[in-house]
Amino acid sequence: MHPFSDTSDQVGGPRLAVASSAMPEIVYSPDSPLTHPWRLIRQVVADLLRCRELIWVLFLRDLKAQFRQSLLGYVWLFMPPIVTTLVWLFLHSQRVVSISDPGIPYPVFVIIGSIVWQTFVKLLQSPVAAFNAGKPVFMKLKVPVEAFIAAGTARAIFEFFIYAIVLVPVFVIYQVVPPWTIALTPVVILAIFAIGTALGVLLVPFGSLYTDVQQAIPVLMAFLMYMAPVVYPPPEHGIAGLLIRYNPMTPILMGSRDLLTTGSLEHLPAILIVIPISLSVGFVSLVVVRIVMPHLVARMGM
Amino acid sequence: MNDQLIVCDGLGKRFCRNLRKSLWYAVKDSAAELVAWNRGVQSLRDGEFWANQGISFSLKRGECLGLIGHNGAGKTTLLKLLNGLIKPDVGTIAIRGRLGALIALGAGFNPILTGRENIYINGLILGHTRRSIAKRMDRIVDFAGIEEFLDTPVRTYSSGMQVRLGFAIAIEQNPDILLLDEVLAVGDAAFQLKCFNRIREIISAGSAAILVSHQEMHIRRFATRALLLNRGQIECEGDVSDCFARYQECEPGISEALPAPIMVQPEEFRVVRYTAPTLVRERRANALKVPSVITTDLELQSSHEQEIYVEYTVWDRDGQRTRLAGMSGQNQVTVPRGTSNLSVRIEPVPAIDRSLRLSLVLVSCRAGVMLSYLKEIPVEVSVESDCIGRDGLCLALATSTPRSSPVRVVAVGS
Repeated sequence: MHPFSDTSDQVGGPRLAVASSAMPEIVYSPDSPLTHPWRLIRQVVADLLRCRELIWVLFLRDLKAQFRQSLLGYVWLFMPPIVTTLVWLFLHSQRVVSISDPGIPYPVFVIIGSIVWQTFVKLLQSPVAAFNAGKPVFMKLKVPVEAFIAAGTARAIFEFFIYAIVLVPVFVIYQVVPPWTIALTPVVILAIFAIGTALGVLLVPFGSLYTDVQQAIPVLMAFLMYMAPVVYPPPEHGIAGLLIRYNPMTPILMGSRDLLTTGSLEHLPAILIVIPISLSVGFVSLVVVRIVMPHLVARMGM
Repeated sequence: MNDQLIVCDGLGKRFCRNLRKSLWYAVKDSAAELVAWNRGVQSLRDGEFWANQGISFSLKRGECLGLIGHNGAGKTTLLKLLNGLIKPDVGTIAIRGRLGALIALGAGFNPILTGRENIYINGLILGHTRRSIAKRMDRIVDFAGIEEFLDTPVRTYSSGMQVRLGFAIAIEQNPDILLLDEVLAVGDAAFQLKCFNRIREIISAGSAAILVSHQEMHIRRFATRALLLNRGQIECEGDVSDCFARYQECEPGISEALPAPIMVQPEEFRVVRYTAPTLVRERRANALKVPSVITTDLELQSSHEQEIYVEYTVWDRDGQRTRLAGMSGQNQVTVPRGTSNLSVRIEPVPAIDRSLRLSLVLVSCRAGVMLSYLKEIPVEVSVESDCIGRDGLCLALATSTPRSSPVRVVAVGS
């Protein structure tokens, strides 16, 4: 029997309804919200839309807070891809590493690979980091966790566009004229965002409970960077060739280079498969976070 | 018409003392949720205990429930369940209306950012829109009394200012149900009084409130009834006095351990008269740029000798904008038994080209309770002086004839 009305049914999980007097009613019970999956999905979508302002303000907050106390300020945003490129240029020029001809100037090859890879890694790390940073708020106030995750993702996307500016002087210096396929780069950008965010959100429930995830990501990513064509072209044969061929980041890395330099569309079909799968995984992961959130908050302490 | 805003029925929540097991149970419970298998439990797993068990109560409009109990009794768990942060393992909670929680004051504040920026962030976290925050900005700033620091980083604020700002933002939620967890001890006595008045307004307007406090005075001030929790279960529910009596019974030694609540009666302490507060201003041509002094004399009547201190707030004429606030003098004052006089001197008062009002709060040092509150007395500017002291401060005392006035508000807490 519903406590407020003789017309409503008792339902499981947090349930939001509008009573006849236009006051919202919520019933919290032990039942899983998945007993009403469509209602849950509608709530997640509605909260995401409702929190647009909060996402924007949280994004600005973190950006301002990071650089307001810095002397060089936003210059630090440009540093990671530039430093990575300089390191590999140096190693390449000193013949410390031997790289087969990638078909385009090697600095261009490395810098595109670095930007794509570093954006992927940031997107992967961002949801868990944003969630853990927001714990003091989550454990005290009922706020849409999606807003905090999305603000972290927005930050990674913003940094990607800053990185991308570095490409302009590199293309000018090495006299690379982008082909018409540059118009298709939004597709590959979407693929990077989708796969990075999806995997990142997927890690949130486990990553908020155990610190293993945050410790494992940098270690694992350092290894996986060499199992992807970031700083060298994919080998044709051997175990490395096999691993790189089936790495979902390979078509994105190679495809982004092709679209910006050679104009080849060889990797586009694979990218078009990655996008819907990643978007689906990302949304399902967001719903999962919403479902398990009370259990995560219960373990955050008082 | 059903006026019930909260109905809790057989509420139960388990927690685990062992961290590793607790995390593993979280994984298992999460997995059970994902296969829609979580249908509530009645038993405990290894290492678990009931943080709340068998909690049933309801709350109607206009009611304030005082939630009391010793540390670890389950009060915070119950508030988290009501706020929807964690879900019950047994039982149900039905909430009707908008719920506002004054629990984490200043949640999301970033110390690097300014007060204004943090008002937007905190307001959005609490569910406001940017537009509604912009509309409420002046009110929030006035309430917190931080207008001069609005555009400086929050890291430069004192802890009291930060909490005041957090409270001022949170209280703008205008909820149907208000949850308050130990937030009434914020700021100085005058600010506490503002908070009390605002909370009283919200409850009087038809909202319900649940108040958690270890201070009996706070519970008695607001609560229409109380609920005593002991080891996660309801020990007593109903009359506030009965619950406090039971509270002391169920915790042996608590009456010795805790200072007895001091309820100040009107006949125990009162301000009999006061002279009209006077702003002493210099005679020079640019006198408006020179800080001044406000003085007033109080005649006190006390049933016993006691230590007090005086807090002051200087308001704009409209009583809305705080111009100056602080403690009068560095030391507490001993008020003897019987009748005595106390001179209050506030300096330097920044030169302000408008008429002012003065509020004084007399606080007992021992109990920390307000003994008396003189509310917004008009400040006269009737004295001019040639006596200029160091740094351009006017050190002259008022020379106007003291005028006796009846006391407006006496003996808070009776």
